[in-house]
Amino acid sequence: MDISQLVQPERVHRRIYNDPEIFEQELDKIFSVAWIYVGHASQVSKSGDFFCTNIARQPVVMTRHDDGTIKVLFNRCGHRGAQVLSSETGHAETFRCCYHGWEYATDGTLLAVPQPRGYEESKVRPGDPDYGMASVPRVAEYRGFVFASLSHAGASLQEYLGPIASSIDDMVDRAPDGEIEVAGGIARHLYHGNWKLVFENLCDGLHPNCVHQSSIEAAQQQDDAVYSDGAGEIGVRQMRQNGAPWEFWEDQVGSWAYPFGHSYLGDYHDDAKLVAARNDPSFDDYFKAMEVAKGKERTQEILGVTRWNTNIYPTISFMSQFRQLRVIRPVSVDKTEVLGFCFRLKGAPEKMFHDTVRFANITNAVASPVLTDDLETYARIRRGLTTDGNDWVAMARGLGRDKEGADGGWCAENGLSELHIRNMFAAWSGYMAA
Amino acid sequence: MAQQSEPEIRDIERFLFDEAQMLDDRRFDDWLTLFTENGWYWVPITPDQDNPFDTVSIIYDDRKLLETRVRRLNNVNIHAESPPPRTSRIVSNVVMRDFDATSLKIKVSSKFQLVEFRGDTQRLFAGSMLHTIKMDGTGIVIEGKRVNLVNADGMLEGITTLL
Repeated sequence: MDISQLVQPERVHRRIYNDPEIFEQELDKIFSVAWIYVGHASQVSKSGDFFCTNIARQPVVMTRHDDGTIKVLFNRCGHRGAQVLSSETGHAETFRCCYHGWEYATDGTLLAVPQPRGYEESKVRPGDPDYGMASVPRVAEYRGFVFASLSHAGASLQEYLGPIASSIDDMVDRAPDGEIEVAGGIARHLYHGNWKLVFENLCDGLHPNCVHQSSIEAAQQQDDAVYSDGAGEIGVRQMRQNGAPWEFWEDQVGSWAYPFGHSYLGDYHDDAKLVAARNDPSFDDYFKAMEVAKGKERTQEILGVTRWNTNIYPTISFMSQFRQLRVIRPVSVDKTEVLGFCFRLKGAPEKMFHDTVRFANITNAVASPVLTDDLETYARIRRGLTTDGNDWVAMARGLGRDKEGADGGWCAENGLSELHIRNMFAAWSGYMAA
Repeated sequence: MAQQSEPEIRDIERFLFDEAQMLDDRRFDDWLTLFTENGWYWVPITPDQDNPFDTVSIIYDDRKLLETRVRRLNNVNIHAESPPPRTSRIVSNVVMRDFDATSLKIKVSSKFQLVEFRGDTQRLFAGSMLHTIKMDGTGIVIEGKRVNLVNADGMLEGITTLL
């Protein structure tokens, strides 16, 4: 099969979404090569803290070592190969395998082997790197966002992120104390569809008015006078915003794309209760905290950045306005896990974080009135692409109207463009051809 | 004010069975009327979740959001329910706790199993419920309903069915 034939300028072959062989190649050529987001440094704030996830379906653990550095280890005993850590998060002074009790330091160094007699003639010794929990080849961090790569060679994290690092800046700079932390649990779900669909959808400005029609109309018809504990306010307003007219997306919302498949969508919100930059009094305590920490001018500059979802290909999508991060983990060609995390802005009023949680409930929860219609759409794409009627999936909207920027990226004609999809497939083709 | 004695367990059970039947019958508007004006509906993300404010939930709806959720379920353009799911639920192990003879509030714990069928997929949900209910002059109303799924923190697929 010639992979290069599967991607054309305005469409891609359906096998990219439903061929298990191509999926296996993606694990080898994309997920085992690219910088993969592992977690946030705040998830392992103390030495001995750990967080388990996977890279290219391989179990790994992010740990904080005694010397304060963050390690990413393959979660596998150096002895007989059992997974060493079985809970997703936790804290341990040392890691001990359940099988024969081999014990590891938090950087994976083999510390002790019970009953060491019998190993005299072998190379098994505490400290021997062949028998430790191996480190993934490369680990790097940008402002608390920890990435790892299973490849020894390749672009540095800085080169890989390039201008899209400014979206991470946008998230972190909004904290009056200059730091953010993961908090509030994990909203997780599984969908029946290829992993690429969620990235394509999250910067797709055209879909909300169709896909989310039921929640948009329900929210538009909601009586505002009904007010119980206030928890529903953010959610109802967000659902209404999804109904912004297409003209608004064309006139007000932009879309930008960068090398390595990264992109972001401009913010489409004009509800002052939802957007700090619009100076609603409900943000007064936050403005004060920001201005004390950063000064008035810098505060205006930070809050004036209006981005919606940023995709860092091929693992995360995040958004600063409501401090959300989604981690996308491919399971198989037609199964994908999504983990939603919330960030707390250190130094901001706790109300901001409660709003973050409320927003997550309405957008990332598995029973969300919004998300469930997206998941249904992915399932229908999966079924639709099994037909032989048409081999091609289009990404033509806005083609030929992208403008190259001074920063090496591209700016789409408007927020309804499919530039972000074309850009992801440009990166996809590069990875797969290597 | 005269104090009232604890309600009969069979009246409470009857209320929970009627509620379950309403949901199986997709009489969502009727279900909504069971809740007080400040009623809440909560499906935590872990069975031991402490509160719905500093941790995400599978569902945490105050009255306003609950009205919107129900209105969406009644909207003909709800893709996730086209076709709509069919459900059958069993409610059992009903126990009354913490009856307050002055406020006439009572907490009721129960277990449930819910079979859902939609399209080509049948799913089983199970867990416990904690209803905070109040006896008012005309009957029983729900101040709050908490549903703990046994797999609340598992990798679930999209849920539109009210639990």
